[in-house]
Amino acid sequence: MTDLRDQPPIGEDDLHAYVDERLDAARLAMVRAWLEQHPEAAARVRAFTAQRDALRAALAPRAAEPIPARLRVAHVRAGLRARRLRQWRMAAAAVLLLLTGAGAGWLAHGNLASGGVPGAPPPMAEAAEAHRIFAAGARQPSQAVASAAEDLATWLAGQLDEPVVVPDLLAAGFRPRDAHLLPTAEGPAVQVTYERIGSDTRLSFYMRPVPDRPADKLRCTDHPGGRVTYYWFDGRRGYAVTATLPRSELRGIAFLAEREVRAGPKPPPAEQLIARAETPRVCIG
Amino acid sequence: MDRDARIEATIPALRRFAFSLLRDRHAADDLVQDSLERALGSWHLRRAEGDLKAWLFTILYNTHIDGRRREARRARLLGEIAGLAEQATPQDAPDHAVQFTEVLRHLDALPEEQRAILLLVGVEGLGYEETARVLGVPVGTVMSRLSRGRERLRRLTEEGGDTPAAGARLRVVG
Repeated sequence: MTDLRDQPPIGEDDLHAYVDERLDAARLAMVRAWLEQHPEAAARVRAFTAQRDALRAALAPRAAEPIPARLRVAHVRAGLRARRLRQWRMAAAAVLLLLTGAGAGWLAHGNLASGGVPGAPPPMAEAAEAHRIFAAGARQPSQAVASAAEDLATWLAGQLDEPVVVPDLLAAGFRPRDAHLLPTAEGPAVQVTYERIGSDTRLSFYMRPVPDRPADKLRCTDHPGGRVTYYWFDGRRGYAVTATLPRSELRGIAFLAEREVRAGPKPPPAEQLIARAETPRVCIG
Repeated sequence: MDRDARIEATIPALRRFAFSLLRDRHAADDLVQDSLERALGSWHLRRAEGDLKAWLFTILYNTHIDGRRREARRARLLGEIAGLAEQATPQDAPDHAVQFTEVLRHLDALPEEQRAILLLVGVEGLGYEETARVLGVPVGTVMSRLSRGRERLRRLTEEGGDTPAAGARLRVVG
């Protein structure tokens, strides 16, 4: 027992390490010697060991079973790949939707076409605005579904704290379906989805603050897949109308929307469409 | 392929550990599958080369804890909706294909953190420090839980019989 003076006294940890066979030779000898002097502790240690063996025996059949096919690494990896592909496709579809619906693409395109907008926002400038719209103080939902342009206009005016024109495109056969607020560095943008009565054709009206760009006439951009965007600026905001429609038809609708916006929050009757739709315009892009 | 072979060499132990945690064969294999997906998906995050087994156990245990939280949330929600406060848990669904030995029944009475340590140290043969890493606790905590768990299991075994009551089991779940 003289060894014990140089070594820390035997503790509970030693007993478990003894059971788990994790003692080095010197300590093992000490613990063995100590256990011989302490039959109660020795009984506990024996019980722990028996208990460990019982657990091992009870669970051994589990580990002895053949590995099922679904747990083979090759199988798991294949499943993982398939899932990632699905997720990637969904993400790609979401981006596509965003570009289509929000008309982000046309703005970027328009900016490039005009040689770039001075003071274009850094890519993360939208983050704070997104938070403002979607997270902080979002007392109301950031999107709305309505049956009439006026309903959406009322909702949007409440969201933006200023009157907003939701163009009445009924004369062209389109009625508003829903509206979304979208973040931009200059403040909230609005996207309104219209659908053609009696068909699946969708149309987007998009409007965002563009404070440092002078008023500009109607221009057009073609996108791959037949989508066409007409857009214009009024010195405060940029506006766009996007749909997969023949240019001539969409141009007429864009004229209608522009007229509605220019007229301000009280939309006039929309009969001018036919009269103005034939006017030729230069189409850029 | 070497990598796959090394992972597959650990699968029997992972299945055993998963089963001992969940006590349901299918749920256990689901847990192993989820864990393998996680492991393969985050292979690049793995640190030391020799640590594969402990790393896989860590992922499995964390996946299990996540799943249990999900399960607990779901049970709470169900309980709120149906007014059933005492919702059944996966552990109450025994696997009849397995002979439940007395020691496994007694094991059920232990709090899960003690149970996991008894299994990792005693059955899976992990070292104390490896176990500490798997569970994300200090080694000292592993030692004290190991001590308490073994002592408790010993008393239960000495008392013998069919005492591990539903009450004890509910405590494990909560």
